[in-house]
Formats: sequence, C-alpha cells, structure tokens
Amino acid sequence: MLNFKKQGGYSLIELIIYMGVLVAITIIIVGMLVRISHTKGRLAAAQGLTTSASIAMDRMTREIRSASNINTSSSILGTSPGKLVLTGVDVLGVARTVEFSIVTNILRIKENGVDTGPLTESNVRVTNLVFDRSASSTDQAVRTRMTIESGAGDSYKSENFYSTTILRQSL
Amino acid sequence: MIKFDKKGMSLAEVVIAATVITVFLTALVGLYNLHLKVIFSSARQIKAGFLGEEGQEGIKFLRNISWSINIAPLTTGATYRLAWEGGKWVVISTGGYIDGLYDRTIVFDSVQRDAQSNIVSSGGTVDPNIRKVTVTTSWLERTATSTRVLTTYLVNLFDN
Repeated sequence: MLNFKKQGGYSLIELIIYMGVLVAITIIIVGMLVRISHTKGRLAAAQGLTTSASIAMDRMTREIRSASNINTSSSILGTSPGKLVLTGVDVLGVARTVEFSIVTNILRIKENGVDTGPLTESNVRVTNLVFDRSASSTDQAVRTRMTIESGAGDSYKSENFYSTTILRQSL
Repeated sequence: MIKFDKKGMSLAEVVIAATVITVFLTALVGLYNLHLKVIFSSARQIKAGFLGEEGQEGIKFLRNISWSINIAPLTTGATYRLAWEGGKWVVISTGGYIDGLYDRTIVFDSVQRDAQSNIVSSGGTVDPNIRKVTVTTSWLERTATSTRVLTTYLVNLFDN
C-alpha cells in the first residue's frame, strides 16, 4: 500500500535544478560511453601492432643470431618486400634453413622449406620489410627494417622497427 | 510496503550527490586515459628497445672487425651515434634523429680494475681492453622525454 503524505512536494525551481543536474550527469556518462566505444578500435589496432612487432622482431633476431650463413642468392636484400634465407644447423647438428618473407602483408616463416606459420597478426599489415647484409672479414650481420600498419581511419597506426643482429655462428 | 512520508531530497543534498558522482566519474575517466596512454606508448617503448639492442650489436660488429681501429681511438666519456654508411655501421659524433623522433647516443667509458682484477668504479688502474658501453635511446613522449638505457661491457675479445 502506498501512502503519500502531502508535505509540499517540489517547487518548480527545485524541479528545474534537479532536472538540470540529471541532464548534466547523463551527458557526462553518454560522452564517456561514446569515447570508450571509439577507443576500442584504436586499442585493438595498437595492441595488434605491438604484439606483432615483438614476436616478429624477436623471432628474426633469434634465428639470425643462431644461423651460420645467409643464402644471398635466394634472399632478396636491400629492397622491399625483402626475403631472408638463413642456413645453419639445429641443436642436433642437422642442417636447417629458415626463410622470412612477406605473403599478402603478413610476415611468414619457413623452416626447411615448409611454411610454419605467420609471425604477425592477421589484423596488421607489414608494408615494408628490408634486409641489409653487412659483411666484414670476420663476420656477417643483418640489418632489418620493418614497417607495420594497423587499423584504419581514426584507429590507423603505423610504426617502423629496426634491428641489427650479428650471425654468431659465422665467426 | 513502500511508505513515502518525507519531503524528498533538499537542493543541498542533490548538489552534494551530483558533485560526488562527477568527481568519481572524472577520476574514472582519468584512470581510463592513463590506461590508453600506456597502451599507445608501448609501440614506441618496443621500438626504442630494439634501437638500443641495435646500437649494441652495431658496436660489437665494429669491435669484431678491429678493436684497435674502431673502439680504442674513441674518446671515453664522449657522446657518439651510429650511422649506416655504405652497407655497414660507422661511429659518428653528431647525427640526426631516427624517424625524426629517436636520439640514440652511445658513450664509451673506461673501466678500472683493482689488484685482484675486479672491476671498481674508482681507485683502480684503467684496463685498456674493456669499455663500459651505455646506449641511451631517448624520445619525446607528449611533453616529457622518455629514455631507455642499455649498458654492457665491451671487451677486446679477439685481441685485434
């Protein structure tokens, strides 16, 4: 049972002020929600880019470091899209080749001629990949330059990544 | 059973409640923005990390070629940078920013050893076959400068 005891209620001024406060708070909350929904795309793009960059650069660094030579005739050096073919031996001493190349903007790795998967996520694009070989009388090094893009419009992001790695086995 | 027998909220109560809610929301938005800032800056952090590693590898490559030609003549304590010239890294004194944002500097410090050959910060004799290499990558992050510092000892490994 509802029991309203009339005790004056609200005046018009009070009502207007309450409504004004309510509207102000609603505007703030809606603004926040709109902002959050917009940044969702930007977050996904930024995270795809950083994850792909870390995985791709780390893997390339590790493979270059443990390789004993660069197959210069099979590799595409000094230009994009580049291709790097490394030769070496695995832990058991068996010959092993590793190849890094771009297939439709995705960096992929081949081990002993067999594609073993992508190194960058499907929501990012590798738009530039250049391998430079530096050789001295004592050893070889590979300089890698990679550009990764992600997202579109508001969430578009592009970053260049650089690394240089010496082939430890070639000394 | 619901019973309304009060007048409701006074204006002062409404204003206080609204203020509390607004302060809370503002704090929440601030936290969210901080979270976003960290995520959006992580690509630059990763890039700077790789740049630092590249600096160390470039120096090691030069060391492998010849310590006496490439490393020994460099002034200790001075600031150097790396440049890619003619298919190899070379040490230069002044250089531009990488991608217009990152400044990668390399400082070679002399290393002192005590009578037991332990490395000491002071009071020992200078070992000419080792340098402390500090690679600092700095970049402007909004209004402040961020830095990533990598330090290693570079040894005349091949006695060349």
